[in-house]
Amino acid sequence: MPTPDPVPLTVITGFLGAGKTTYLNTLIRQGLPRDSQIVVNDFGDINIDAELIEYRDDRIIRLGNGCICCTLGGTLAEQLAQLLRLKPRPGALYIEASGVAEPARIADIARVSRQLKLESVVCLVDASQISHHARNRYTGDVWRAQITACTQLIINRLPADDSIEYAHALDVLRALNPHALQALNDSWGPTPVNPVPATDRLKPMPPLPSLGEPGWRSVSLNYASAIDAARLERLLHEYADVVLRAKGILARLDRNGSQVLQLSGRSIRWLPATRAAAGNYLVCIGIKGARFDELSAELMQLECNQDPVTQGSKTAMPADSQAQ
Amino acid sequence: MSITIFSAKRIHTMNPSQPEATHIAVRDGRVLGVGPLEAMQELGDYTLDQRFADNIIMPGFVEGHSHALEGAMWNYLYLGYFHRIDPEGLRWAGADSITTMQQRLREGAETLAPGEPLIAWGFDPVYFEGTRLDRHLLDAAVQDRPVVVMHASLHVMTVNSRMLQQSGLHQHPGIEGIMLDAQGQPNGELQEMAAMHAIFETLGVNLFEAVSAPSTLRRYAQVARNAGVTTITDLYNPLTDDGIAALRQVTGEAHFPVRLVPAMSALAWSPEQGVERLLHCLELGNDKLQFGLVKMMTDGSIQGYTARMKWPYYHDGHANGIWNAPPEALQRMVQVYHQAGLQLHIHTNGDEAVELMLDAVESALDLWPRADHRHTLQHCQVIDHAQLRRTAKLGLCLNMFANHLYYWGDIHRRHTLGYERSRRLEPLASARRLGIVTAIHSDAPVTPLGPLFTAWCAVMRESASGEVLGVEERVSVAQALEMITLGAAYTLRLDHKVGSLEIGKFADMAVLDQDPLTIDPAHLRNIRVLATVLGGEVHANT
Ligand SMILES: [Zn+2]
Repeated sequence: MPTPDPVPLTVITGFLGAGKTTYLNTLIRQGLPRDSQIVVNDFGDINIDAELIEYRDDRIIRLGNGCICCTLGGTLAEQLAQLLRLKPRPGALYIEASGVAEPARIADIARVSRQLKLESVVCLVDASQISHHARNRYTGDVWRAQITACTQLIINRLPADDSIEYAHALDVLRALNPHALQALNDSWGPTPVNPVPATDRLKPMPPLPSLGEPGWRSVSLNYASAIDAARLERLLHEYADVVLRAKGILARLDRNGSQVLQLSGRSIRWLPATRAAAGNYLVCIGIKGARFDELSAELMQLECNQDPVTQGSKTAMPADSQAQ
Repeated sequence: MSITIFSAKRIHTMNPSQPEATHIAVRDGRVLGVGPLEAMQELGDYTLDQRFADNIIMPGFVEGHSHALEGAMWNYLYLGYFHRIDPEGLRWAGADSITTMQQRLREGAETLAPGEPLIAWGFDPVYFEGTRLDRHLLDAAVQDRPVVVMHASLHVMTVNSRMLQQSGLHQHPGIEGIMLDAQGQPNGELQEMAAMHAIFETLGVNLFEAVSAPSTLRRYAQVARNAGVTTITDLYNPLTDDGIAALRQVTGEAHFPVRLVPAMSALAWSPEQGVERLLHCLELGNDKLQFGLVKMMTDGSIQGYTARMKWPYYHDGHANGIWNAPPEALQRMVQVYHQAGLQLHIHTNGDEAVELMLDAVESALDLWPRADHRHTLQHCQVIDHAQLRRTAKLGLCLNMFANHLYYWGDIHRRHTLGYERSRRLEPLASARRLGIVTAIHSDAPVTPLGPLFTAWCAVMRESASGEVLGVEERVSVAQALEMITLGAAYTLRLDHKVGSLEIGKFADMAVLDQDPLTIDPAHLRNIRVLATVLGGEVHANT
């Protein structure tokens, strides 16, 4: 039996919030090979990454981790083997790796597999977080390993190019990986993502929007007192065309105790939060535009309407959420 | 309903109000009374069952950390150094020399169709120092088909030349995890997921596909029964719909010999999905099936150098281990499950992983104070004393991997931990001094299931080479017995139903040929389990 052409594998690494999903969406918009398979190997609280990828649902799988200390099942090695048994075989594989993944270990899979070939290992770095990540006692070493192992380093949120922080950021990154091609996020958008060779000619970039995507918007609200759940549900339904996801832990006027709210797709679910939550908050993610702004305003009113007295000091404030 | 009274030479009840007795009365699967026979005349008509009159009865053992994967391993050829009892009760002699191993591989190959791969498990390189199992040794046994030998640790395998050839791995020296011989050629030993992937890819099947099938669960229950275990966890079950159906099916079968306590693998779901799934499962249990536990994986293993260690990290200078998920994600998971009122069992091997989870539990308790949460740190093999004091304050339970003292103690002493830290490997006595509820476990199939052996490890603290690791952390036999019964039951939130023999609790017992409390502690591991009783039903040795 002749061995079919190997499937190209791209590994996308980087910490939470570094812009992995945005990068992947850019690639998608530029066109992926036919029947590409996207594997999102991530966890998280508000895990909307997988839902924000603009690709065929049946070609995106979300992969929780198995046990890394033994083969208790669900390992990436097993799951990739399973994917390659799909008919038709994927035209290309993209792995959006978990924030703490060791990309070298994933890349090795492609290096030894007869069915895969390694296309590239991309690492996204949030320049504004460099000193934070480098010093983190729990994850500093993984952060460095990701930068060291990549073939393409993409830097977001660079400070102004005449600042000390700018020079420092580049020094840190170059010391870790002098060979990686440094592509900047200014080459995104309509033009293809092409690796730009390492160069001193780096330009400061405006920070990415909160969701890293011009089309998305999110609003976070903290309420000081219980809210009218029925009214909230009505609002979320009324604006269903612009709301992608909402979640929160909320005190309800009609119930004792806190409830966890979850909206995905068209369904709203309330789960009992069995203990009184410290917060009373709602996060809402949707499509940027006038209607979403209207919704935000309405959500802010939720509390004020029912109890004008609380208006003032601790009223709900919109805030950009770190949704990625 | 009829009453059965079992007599015994001695019953160790684990009930502090009446630690010892001679008779136990059972009705409707539950303990109706424990005491002398005279005191039982008042209970009504009974049948006296004297078959255990010369034996010792204890509460059925509770294994608080093991995996149903044990049941799936027996699909493959056993190659361990020590003897091990298979689910059918067949005793497999230990393959204690390379020659024996080769002979067994040859015999195993003969039972398969031509060309069909031979897969074996349980090989432990620790006992073959000086000889490295390589492809040549395997080729000398079997070369007409692929051979895969999985090591006991489950993260290393050795394959023969045919397997290397078929997977193409022979062309890939220089990849981490493909071990090389003196000539720089792959020697057949494979580690890490890259090499594993190539093997799974070539075999065309996942080795553990059947892990949640009913047949696997039945085998698992048999292995448990053989070891005197009447309540057992499956501490990493994804709780898929099929998996839940299988659990309900087998526990609904007449004569199923154990109670199962699956813990949902948290990393298989988003925290929100996980909470929802588990709350839904709470309704689906029965007398032999209890849901409610969540299992989180924080880091890897010490012997695999994937555990997250605090300074100065590994004794031999190896790089620090890896996180199984981003620390912030792990901390958030603790918050979500804790606030939902669920109970967490958290895998933490290295002391840095322990630190992260102590921080997480502490902040979860700040936000949502909760008495009696019984969150349990699992393994916590090198937890330090400051961490133990925090553990006590936070009301956490510990379930330590006592079998490591024996199986990897020498490795820890020499390579991973060094002298001082190997003194506090599994610091059980310290945990007891602080009043922490503590259990001990086998983590089967990583080490063989056998609570009495595990208790022996906790009492003697001897490594395989006979070195005692930290005499100060030895516990008494009575304390060790509590850890494999009531202590483990408490960590599963089942101490009101199992773990001791007292009125109203399930009539679950282990029948032993010798008395663990009078025997020389050094012989604890040699005590034989003659039978178990589950809900009053006798499951005698096959
Ligand atoms: Zn385990």
